[in-house]
Amino acid sequence: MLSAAVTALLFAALFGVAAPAVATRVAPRAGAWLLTVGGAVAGACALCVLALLALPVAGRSPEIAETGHWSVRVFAQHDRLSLGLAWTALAILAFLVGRGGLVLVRIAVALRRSFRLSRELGRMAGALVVLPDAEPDAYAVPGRPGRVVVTRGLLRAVSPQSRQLVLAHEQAHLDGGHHWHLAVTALAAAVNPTLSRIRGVQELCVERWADEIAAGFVGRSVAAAALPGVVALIRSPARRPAAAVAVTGSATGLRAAALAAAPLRVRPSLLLVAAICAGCALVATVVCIGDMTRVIDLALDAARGTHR
Amino acid sequence: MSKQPDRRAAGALEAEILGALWAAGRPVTPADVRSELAADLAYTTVTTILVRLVDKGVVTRRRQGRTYVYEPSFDQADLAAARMHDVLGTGQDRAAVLSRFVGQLSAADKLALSAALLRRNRRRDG
Repeated sequence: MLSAAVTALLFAALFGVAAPAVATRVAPRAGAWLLTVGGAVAGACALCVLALLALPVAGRSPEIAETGHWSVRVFAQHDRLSLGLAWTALAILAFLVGRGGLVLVRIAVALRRSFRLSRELGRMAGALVVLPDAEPDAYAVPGRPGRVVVTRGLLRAVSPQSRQLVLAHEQAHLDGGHHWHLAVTALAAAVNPTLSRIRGVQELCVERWADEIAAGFVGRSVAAAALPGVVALIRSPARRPAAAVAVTGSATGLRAAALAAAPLRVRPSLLLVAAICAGCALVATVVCIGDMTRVIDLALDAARGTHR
Repeated sequence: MSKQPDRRAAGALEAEILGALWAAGRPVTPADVRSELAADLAYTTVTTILVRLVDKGVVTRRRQGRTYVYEPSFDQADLAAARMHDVLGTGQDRAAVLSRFVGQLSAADKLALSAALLRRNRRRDG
C-alpha cells in the first residue's frame, strides 16, 4: 500500500517536471492537451492516494466502524499504515481540497458570468463585440456563442493584418475551448503542488496555440512581425507595473520567435515520455485502491463473522 | 489546422468586416471596406455580409448618391458595452474571466519558458 502510494505521488511529481519541458518543445496544441489530460490524471491521483492514506483515521475509529459495521482490529491489522501518517495525510488532503475548492469556485464564478453575458448579449451583438473605449484592448469571452471583444481604440490603431491577427487569435481561443484547458490545469495545480508549474506553461501553450491558428490566416512571417506591436499597444507602458516590463517583453518575444521559426512538430515520442509518467501514477493509484479495498473487505467480513 | 480565408466560417468574416467598419471611423462604401481588409474577398461577399450585419442591427446603412454607405450601429455598441460592464464588472473581475490577447503568464514561468524555447530557436537559426 505505502510503496504504491509513494510511487503514485512520485510519478505525479515527475509529470509536473517533465510535462512543462515537453509542452514547450512540441506543437502548442499537443502541448496543451498533454498538460490538460496528464494534469487532470496526476491531480486526481494525488487526491485519491492521500484519501486512501488517510483512510485508517476512519477505519480504525471504533465509533465510525460501529456505523459501518466493520472490524477495527482487522482493519488495523491489514492496512499496514501508521495512524500518524494517516492523520498527516488527512491534514494535507484537507488543505489541498480546500485550495482546489477555492480555485474551482473562482473558475465557476468567472465562467458563469461570461456565459451569462453571452446569453444577455443574445442577438444584440454578433460574434464580435466592439466597445467604444479608446484604450486598446482585445479579449475572448467564453459562452454560447463565445464573443470576441475588442475596443474601438485597438481597431483604429492597427493595420488590417494586425486586426485580422487579433480577431483570429481571440476566435481561436473560443473555438478551441482554451478556457477549459486553463481551468483544468489551474485546478490540477491547486490540488497537487508538485504540478504548480503546469499552470503557467498552459497559459503560454494556449496563447501560442491561438497564435498558430491566427498565423494560418495572415501568414507566419506577417504574424511574427505584427504580434509584438499589438501586444505593446495593449500593454501600454503607462498602465504596466515597472517590474513586469522585461518579463512581458520576453513572453511576447517568445511568441513572436516561435512564429518566426518553423512550426514545432507534434513529436509523439516526446509526448509519450510525459504521458507515461501520468500513466504510471494512475496505475500505482489503482494498485492503492485495490489494496485498500482488500483491507476494507477483510474488516467487513470479520465483523459479519462475529455477528453471525 | 490552418484554413484558407475563403473557406472560413461566416462568423469570422462578419467579425473582420465589422472590425474594418469600426477602423474606418466614418461611413464607408463596400469598396472602401474591401480595401480595408487584409484578406482578399470578392465584392459580392463583402456586400452580402454587410447586408447580414444590417439585418442583425449591428450595422446601419444609408443611401449616398448611387450607393449605400455603412457604419457601425453606435447605439447598439453602447448597449453591448453597458451589458458587458454590468455582467463582467471592471478591472480584476474582468481579468479573471478573460483570456486576453497579451495573456496573463505568471512571472517565474515566463522566465523559465523563454529560456527553454528561445534556446531552441537560436539553435535552429544558427
